[in-house]
Amino acid sequence: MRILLLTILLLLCLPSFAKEKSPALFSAFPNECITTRKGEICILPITLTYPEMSSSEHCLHINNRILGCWSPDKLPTDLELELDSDSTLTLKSEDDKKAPSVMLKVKYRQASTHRRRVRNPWSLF
Amino acid sequence: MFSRFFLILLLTSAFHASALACENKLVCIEEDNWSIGVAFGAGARTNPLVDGDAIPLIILPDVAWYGEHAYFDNGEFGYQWQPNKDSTTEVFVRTNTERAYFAFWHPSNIFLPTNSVTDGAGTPSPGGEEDPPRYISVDDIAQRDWSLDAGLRTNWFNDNDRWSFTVIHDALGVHNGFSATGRYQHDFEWQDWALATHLSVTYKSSNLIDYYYGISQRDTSDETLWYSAGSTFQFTGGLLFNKPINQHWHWLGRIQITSLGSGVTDSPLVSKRYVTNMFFGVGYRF
Repeated sequence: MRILLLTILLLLCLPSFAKEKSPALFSAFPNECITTRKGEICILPITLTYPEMSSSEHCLHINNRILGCWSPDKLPTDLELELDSDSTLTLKSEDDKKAPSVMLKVKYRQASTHRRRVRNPWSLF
Repeated sequence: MFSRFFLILLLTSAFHASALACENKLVCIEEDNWSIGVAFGAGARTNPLVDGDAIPLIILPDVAWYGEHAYFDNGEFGYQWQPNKDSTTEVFVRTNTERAYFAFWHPSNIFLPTNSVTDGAGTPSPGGEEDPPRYISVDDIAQRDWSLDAGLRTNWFNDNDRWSFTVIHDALGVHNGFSATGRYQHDFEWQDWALATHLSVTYKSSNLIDYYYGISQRDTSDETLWYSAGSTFQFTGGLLFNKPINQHWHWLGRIQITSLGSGVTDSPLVSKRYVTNMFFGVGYRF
């Protein structure tokens, strides 16, 4: 009986062992930057992980602004970015139609950037 | 004196007018964003002057921007400090509103000039002789100029209450007067409505009141109408309310009443004791 249960358990687990290791995705860690208040530049050091790539040159873009282009083996794994708001980091190449991207979020310690007005609204007249 | 004081304040203050948690949609604004709105409706600001027509309020703009320190809010340019989380201090300039009662939209300035110098006050005496007119029309006096207020205001507040004290001086030397105001405002919400009530008392100096409401040789040669105005206290109470319809549109209204004080109401140029300011309509915020 015990042998039968052990066999069933092994058979159930087999698919997960058999599964191929999933290919690496384009990712950034950490992907959140915390600053004091809206409007301040947030400096975010990140570590990048790349997917399998063709041998052509790849470029990193932040919000459509190019950071640089490198061959796949020279792509930087560590970057320091200056963000003023939520930004998208994209990996682009001429060969690959897909352009994987990661979202980098900026959060503020100060929950609200709202201020009390010194005059009431609609008070011009 | 004022400019020197403002300069010292500017140089010695290292405080930042930082944002506090401000939740009331009616009185709060996001830093570094223009808040622009326009309201359509019906309303008026009554005019206390003899022959002065109410100022119609059909379209009301609302324009404000607040930066780290500097701000613009409905005609007021200012610079604000926040020494601690419960108070702010600002210096500012804005147009003095007293002149608005003498403005161009008086009907006689648009249509036909009138010769009236009375407001029905020159009624015949029982003896058949006419009393000298007690009133003089706004149409028959010398022009009053606009002036620019330079002011200093300190606010103390908590979540829903705000106390403020404001001192204002004539920046252009038009009348060389000043005023001081103590004000309290309570903000609250009721169902979907955001409301704000306020009470204030304002002291206006004799120079300020006399320039606008005093009557002298510059206005008429009739010495019986000459009036030298003294300082006065004015009391104001009001209510502002606002209810969103959707993301951009909302219902809005305001009611405000101000007692003018004897320094103003004793003038032959003035025929009302109160000024009311009302508006009801819909507002669109961009």
